[in-house]
Amino acid sequence: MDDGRSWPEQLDSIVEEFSSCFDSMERYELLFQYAKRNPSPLPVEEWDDGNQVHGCQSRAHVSCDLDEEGQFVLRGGADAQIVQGLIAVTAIAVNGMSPSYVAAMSPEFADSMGIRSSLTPSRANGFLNMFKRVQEEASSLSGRT
Amino acid sequence: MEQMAPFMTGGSMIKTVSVEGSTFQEGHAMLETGTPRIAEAIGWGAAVEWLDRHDMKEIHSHINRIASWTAEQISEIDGITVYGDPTRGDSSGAVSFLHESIQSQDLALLLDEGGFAVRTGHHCAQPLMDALGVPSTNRASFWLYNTMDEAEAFVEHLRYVVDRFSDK
Repeated sequence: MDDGRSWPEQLDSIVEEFSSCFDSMERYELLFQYAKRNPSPLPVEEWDDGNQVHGCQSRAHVSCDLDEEGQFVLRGGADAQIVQGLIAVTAIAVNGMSPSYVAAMSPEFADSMGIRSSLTPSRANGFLNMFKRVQEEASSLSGRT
Repeated sequence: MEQMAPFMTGGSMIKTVSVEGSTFQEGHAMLETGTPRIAEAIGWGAAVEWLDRHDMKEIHSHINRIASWTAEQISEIDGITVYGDPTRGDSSGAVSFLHESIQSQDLALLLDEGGFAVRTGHHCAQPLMDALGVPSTNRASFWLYNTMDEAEAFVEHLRYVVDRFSDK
């Protein structure tokens, strides 16, 4: 969280990519592409009540853990591509960071990408619920490091 | 109803009020607190009068024509399945459909970008959706104020969305 931004460096090019989109349709198209490039998907077989994100219009599941080096790993999946894309971008942002960094991170990157203004209020709330869930898990995991 | 207590107190449901206590109207009046829905009743009356000036059979034909045409057109779009048969004379103006790779919520959002509001989900009919073996559908509904031009614009935007967002 340097240089006046509230997201990790690896998101810079993604924020730039989304914010330079011509319109909402182009942003959605990018989210569809990121949905296919989810760096750490959670297979459907692992979706259960325990990892479901409530408050989303679509089905969304996230599972958080630490890797062997104690760095944060978010795995996630959703039935809707737009939600899956949001999870993928969030995973790119938080994977490999310390859990305490993730717990303190702001969801402001979604505003800077122009995503939240494109979403319906229920979807925007769904994103925030997902992000909050990730932060709560990060906070809990930071006690383990 | 005689055993029920008022859930809210206020105008119209009171019989007597004193320092010692109050008594209430009986029956449903006890539960209808406050100003009656006067504006809604006047609005409803105006709507009924307006509808009464139309020929309902003609309205049904108009809706059926638009829905049939739309269903026929979108069933030809790659990956779209239309549920039900809007060409039937007794069908409503609702056209339910689903795309094989664009999830219904995503599709609704992308249609909304073109100015088209469709209903999405299981439409409070989970047993039917289970029987059809689909998790959800999109549903475009037409009524007397819709035109063929609007249906054409809807089909055109749906084609554009499918062309741009489907897994090819």
